Amino acid sequence: MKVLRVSEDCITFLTQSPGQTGEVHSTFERAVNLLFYNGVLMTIVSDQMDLAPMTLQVSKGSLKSLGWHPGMPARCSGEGIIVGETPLAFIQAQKWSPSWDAGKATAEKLTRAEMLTRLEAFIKLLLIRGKPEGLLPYLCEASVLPHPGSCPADMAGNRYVDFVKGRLDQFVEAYRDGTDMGETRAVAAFSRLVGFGPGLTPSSDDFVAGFMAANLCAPYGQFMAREKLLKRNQKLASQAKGKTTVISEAMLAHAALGHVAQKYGKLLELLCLEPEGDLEAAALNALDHGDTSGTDFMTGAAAALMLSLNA
Amino acid sequence: MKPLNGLFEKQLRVVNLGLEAFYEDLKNQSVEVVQVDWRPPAGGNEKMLSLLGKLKGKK
Amino acid sequence: MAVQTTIRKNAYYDSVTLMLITKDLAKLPGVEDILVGMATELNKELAANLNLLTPELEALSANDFFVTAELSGEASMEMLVSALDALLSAKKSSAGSSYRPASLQTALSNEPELNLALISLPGRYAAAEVEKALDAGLHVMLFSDNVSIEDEKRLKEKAVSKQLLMMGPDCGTAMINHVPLAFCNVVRPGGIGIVGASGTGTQEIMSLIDQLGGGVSQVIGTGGRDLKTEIGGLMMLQAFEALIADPETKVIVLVSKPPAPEVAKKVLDLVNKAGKPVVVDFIGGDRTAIEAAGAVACISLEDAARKAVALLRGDAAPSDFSGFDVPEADIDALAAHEAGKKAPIQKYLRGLFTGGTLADEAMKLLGPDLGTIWSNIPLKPEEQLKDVKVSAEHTVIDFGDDAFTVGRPHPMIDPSTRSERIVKEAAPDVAVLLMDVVLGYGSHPDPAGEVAAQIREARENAAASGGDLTVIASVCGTEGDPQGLKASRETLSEAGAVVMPSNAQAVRLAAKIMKAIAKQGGERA
Repeated sequence: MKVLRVSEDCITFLTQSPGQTGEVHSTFERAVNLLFYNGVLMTIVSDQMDLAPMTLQVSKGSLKSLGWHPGMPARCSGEGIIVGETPLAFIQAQKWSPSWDAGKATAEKLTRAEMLTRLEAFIKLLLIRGKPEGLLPYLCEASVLPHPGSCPADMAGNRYVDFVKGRLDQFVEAYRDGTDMGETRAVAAFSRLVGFGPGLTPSSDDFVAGFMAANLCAPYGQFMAREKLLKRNQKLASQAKGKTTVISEAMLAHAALGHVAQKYGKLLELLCLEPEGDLEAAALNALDHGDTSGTDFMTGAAAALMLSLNA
Repeated sequence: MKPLNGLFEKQLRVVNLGLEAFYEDLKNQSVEVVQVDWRPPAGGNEKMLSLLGKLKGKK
Repeated sequence: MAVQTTIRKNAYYDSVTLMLITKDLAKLPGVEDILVGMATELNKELAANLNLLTPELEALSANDFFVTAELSGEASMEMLVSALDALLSAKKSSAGSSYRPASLQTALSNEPELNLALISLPGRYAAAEVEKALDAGLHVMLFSDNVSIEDEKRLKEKAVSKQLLMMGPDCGTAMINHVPLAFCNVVRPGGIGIVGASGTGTQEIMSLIDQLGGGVSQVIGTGGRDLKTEIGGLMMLQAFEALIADPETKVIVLVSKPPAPEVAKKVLDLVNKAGKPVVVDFIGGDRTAIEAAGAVACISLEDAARKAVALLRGDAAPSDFSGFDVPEADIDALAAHEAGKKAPIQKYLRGLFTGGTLADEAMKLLGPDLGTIWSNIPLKPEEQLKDVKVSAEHTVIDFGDDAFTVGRPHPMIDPSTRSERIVKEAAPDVAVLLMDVVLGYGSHPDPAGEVAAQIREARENAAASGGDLTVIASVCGTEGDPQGLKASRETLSEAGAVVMPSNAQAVRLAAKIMKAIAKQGGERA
């Protein structure tokens, strides 16, 4: 079994934490999570899965047959990691950057009108094809978002949205307040949101992740300098510690820096940059992520972009 | 080019778009098959179809 | 009503599984309300809000999984837990098979080795998906109809240029690499390759090949319009060439309604290059051209099967088969016997078919003897049945035709369209009822059973009014089919039908009975 591709932050982690030990945290058909004892989560995925931050892809279609189980020891070696007795060397692997805009010409910009067109099409598609069991109905019920104007008749709220929409409104509004007061209020609102809803990465975490990542790529309506925005995101993400699943904590920490899974990165690229591409296919692909996770992430991203274009 | 790209020598791997019964029958025979959760593109909305279509071929 | 919780500490289940589990558990009887998730503070807050919080749940932490439910009646937590465990282990073992990508692209990115797309979407969306599949290098089987002939041409041209199959539109039957696709019978592997522009025609031929001890290498469908001028036989030609090049295929069978003459010529021109025997059934078409090209002509689907099997054995092509599996004298006796039971008023035949090609073959074989046969798919336009719901004189109906299938499933899937008609057809002046019963994948789980009761009732009604109804059925199927050939035949005989080994023989028996009746009528008059 070889390592086919590896996310660059894994390599950084290796160089920064030689000899670090940990264990297998959770196992799935096509993914295995390792939790190192310094709190870092690393994911091994099969060749059927896309890459994401802190992820490496191995040359196997299914990971079940490896017989790995939670609690098995894992550690960093000079060349990569060792899980149980199995070494996985990073040297030959192709590198992948988790930064959504890595290597892309950020100097290019879409006009406002172009971006708005794309966003409208994207939101329409999201409302129809997204999983309504998570926070998607929020797009139609938010008080602080411009109404998307195309809510399907049967997009009723669900118990999750009903419970949390007020808090989402507070968070979203406070986040876009560039002052210190705004930051305090955003942190408070987030702490009343984190870890909420169905899923291994709870819906609200996916929403906030999408929201934070999309804010980093929105070319219009910026309310804060990028460096400050990154700091704000990291502060928020650190609030999640202990309040949600370990996997979700890691996801939020990455999204705060604009590091997102490959599927989401492709989507953000098509929404915020110039390149030609199949928006529908990218959106459908992202919707396939987890169960409601993809939808919730995109709901957060849509909310951020709607606000940025409306500002 | 080989006739039919050598289809007759390959193991069939099917993707099914539409009737579930076809998917179920293949699954029950242990044929490799995937069912697409298909919906009309753009929810059947013509205006959105053309919006999405424009994006595909841009530049 | 009690609220109870079950927990799994530090347990991780993938999100798709969790959502599916929530839905499945919520459906159990006695489950009034249910909340499933990871025990974060906020989820506990929601649980409290819904009156679903319990001390056990309260004590959990964010990385623990919980199910909390309000149960009533006889529902118990044990029941819920065992259902949960069953679902969790079921999902684990079939992980991947419950996975449904949202689009063809996603399916391909997860499974790059896919090689065939089976498409049965509504017609107006089908063409776009076919195009995507062909662009991705997949072969296509297009079951959908209502695809324009322009789209068909364009897509087939693209397919041919990429050495890909584009079977359809309206292609219901194929067997590639011994995998039955859509409506298809289970036939043993062997050396006969079939290319068919007609679904049930193909099914009848392949089933009979199996019954005769032969087997098939590949069965390729082309869709019903392939041999029209506009399409020019694009798929027939491509498939024919592929079978010519295929070392497993020793005998080739081509079946279609009579093609446009210039298309027939293109197809027949290839026969010389085949280097193996070619049997051609242009159902009812002109045999001269076929024989001139060096191919073997046929008088029925059964005849095509018999000739193919003989050629596969290395025998010379036998002469046309227009007989029966049992001595003809026995059949004549049977016909006379059946005719003898009829009341003088009984003089008409009704054919009720689920397979269009079988209905068509029946009419072509009966035509010479019966004269005018009304139908919804008539041989001559002037024989179009005025009201498809009302038969008149001799009538043959194809229940798979559009007139019956708008808004209703095809009769091979839902036999009720036809079975509802059976009793109605047993009018006092009807002597013989002719029908097909098609087995195989795609068909109803028990097509024979679905007509048995109606056959009985129809015959009882006829007897009660002083007459006798002969019901003749043929079963298009094999022992390998899920429904079982033998079992299906027995069901029909027990219901009082005369079961014949093929559509052609069933039709010929019907013709003999009708002739005997006419003779009686002459003698009685």
